[in-house]
Amino acid sequence: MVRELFTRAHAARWEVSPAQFEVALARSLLKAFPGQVPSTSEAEKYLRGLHLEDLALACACENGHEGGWEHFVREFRPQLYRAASAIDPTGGARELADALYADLFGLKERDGIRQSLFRYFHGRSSLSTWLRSVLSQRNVDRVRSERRLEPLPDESTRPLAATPAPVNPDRPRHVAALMAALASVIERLTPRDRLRLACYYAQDLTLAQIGRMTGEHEATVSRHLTRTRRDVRRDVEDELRRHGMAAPEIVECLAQGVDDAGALDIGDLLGTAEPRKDSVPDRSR
Amino acid sequence: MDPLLSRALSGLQAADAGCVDAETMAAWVERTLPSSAAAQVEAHVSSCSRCQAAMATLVRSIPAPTPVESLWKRWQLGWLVPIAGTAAAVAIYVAARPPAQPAPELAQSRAAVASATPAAVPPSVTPESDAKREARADTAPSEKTAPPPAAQGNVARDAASPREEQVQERGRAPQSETVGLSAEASRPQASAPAAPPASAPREAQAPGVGSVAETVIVSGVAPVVEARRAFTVEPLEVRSATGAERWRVAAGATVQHSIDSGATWQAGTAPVSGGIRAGSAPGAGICWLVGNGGAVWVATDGTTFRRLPFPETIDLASVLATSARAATVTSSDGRTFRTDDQGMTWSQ
Repeated sequence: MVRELFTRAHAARWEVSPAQFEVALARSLLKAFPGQVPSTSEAEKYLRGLHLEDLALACACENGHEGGWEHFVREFRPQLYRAASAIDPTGGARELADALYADLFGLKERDGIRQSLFRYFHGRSSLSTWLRSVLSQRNVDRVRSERRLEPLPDESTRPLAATPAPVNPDRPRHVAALMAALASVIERLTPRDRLRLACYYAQDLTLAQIGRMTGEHEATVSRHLTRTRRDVRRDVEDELRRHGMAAPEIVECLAQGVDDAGALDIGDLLGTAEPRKDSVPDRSR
Repeated sequence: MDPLLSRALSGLQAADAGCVDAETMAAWVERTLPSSAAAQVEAHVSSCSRCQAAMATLVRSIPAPTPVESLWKRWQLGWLVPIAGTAAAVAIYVAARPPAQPAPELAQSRAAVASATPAAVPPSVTPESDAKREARADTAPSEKTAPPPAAQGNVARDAASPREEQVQERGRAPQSETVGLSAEASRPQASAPAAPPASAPREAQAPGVGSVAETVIVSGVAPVVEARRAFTVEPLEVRSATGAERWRVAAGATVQHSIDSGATWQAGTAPVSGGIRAGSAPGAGICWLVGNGGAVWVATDGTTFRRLPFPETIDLASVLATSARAATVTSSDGRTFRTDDQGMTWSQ
């Protein structure tokens, strides 16, 4: 079967030896079935589903095959740069793309051996999507690390309000109860519902993008989001009711939760609170 | 709930461990993972802010699938629309257009029609005048049947068709028909002080004079025959539901009857009058005919038509008969009259 897969992958085109290709297949199997030995049929089904041509090209590039690299540069590097532009139009991701390209080439060495990032590609996805995925993860890590390094805003520069707004003594308790109930309800959602909500509300993806991720039509995504939102609202109110809140108090609690900017909002305490969130934009397109 | 959800979901933390590697994430997006592995990835990503962000970034970086370009656009076939439309129009025109008659024959036929039209004669009110009126209706357009400008083209075209021979036949019709034509010619003169010259060709007065007749569009199933005013010389033909039994009203003469799908025709016992416009054949041997001036005729034996009384002297446009006794008649002004006793009484 390895011979057949080797032929299907056109690995000989890049002068990848059958033995090397077999090692790549074995690595892929180990990655897909960690700590277990798949049955022959499972292994065969898995191996036949691999992106074999991309895996052969990755092997060739890892070997430093000139023809393979030329092909990669011609076919995949433009895709990589386009993805970088899509991720960060300001050019931040372009640097990441260049760095990724260097890692793919294997400029780093360990114990005198060139370490190419291609060794982490096992053919389970297409090479282009894998490159985008690596770039996306690196970009997220870059953004998160930069966010940690950003200095806190200088509160002294913000003008003080002449008269502080009156503080409802029940407000902290209400907000805390509401957020706890909300976290509990969100945690109880199915992973798919939670993923849709998070992608929509936290990641600002459009319905079409969420649908592309989950394999659903955007109308289906919209319908599920509406249902989930309604269920969350109902369950949060039930949760608050179980904590002994009456209907008027629940309404007040929700209103305060919407108005509240966070557990520690200096601006609110100083009476300079500004709306943190605009109304949710229409992302149906 | 939107601000609350946004705030709660943005507050998710990155998982301490078990984050999805790049290739698994790519395979999940491509939906090539086994279902169990895909479920694990989904469960993790739904709760891990870092993987969520990476997944969202990945999805953003993948170009949206371009909608499948339709064959229409791909082949740039847009220019075929006007060409196909024009070709269809030409094909329909060619198929529908009768072969053109040579100009000399057309002139002869027109001359024959003109010569058959004598000087104006005052309209008669005798029973005989009904037959004349029918002849007039079949040979000349009345005020109500005057074709609109667009239809006049059809009249002119029909005048140039082989059916012109039938017009010639009419031109050699017996005296009564000739008188009918004269009556038709004299009718507009009632309000016009000066009569047109008798020798003037009718085509000069109104296009297509002499070519107007009535035709019938027959429903293939129902015993309903709708008559349509058309500017042809074809006689009105009423067909039964089976199509085997037919009645033909030609040139205001007797109604002809056929029981063999029109292969042979038997002349009726007496002519019907009233400019028959429509008919209906609900059963064997039964035929209702309606026409101008409140003319309603019925035959129950196929050949003997009897005129039924009608409450108003109005033109009748269509008839729907269900038996020898029951029929519904629609007048040209849209009113409906019904009888259930073979015309003895009518209800509106």
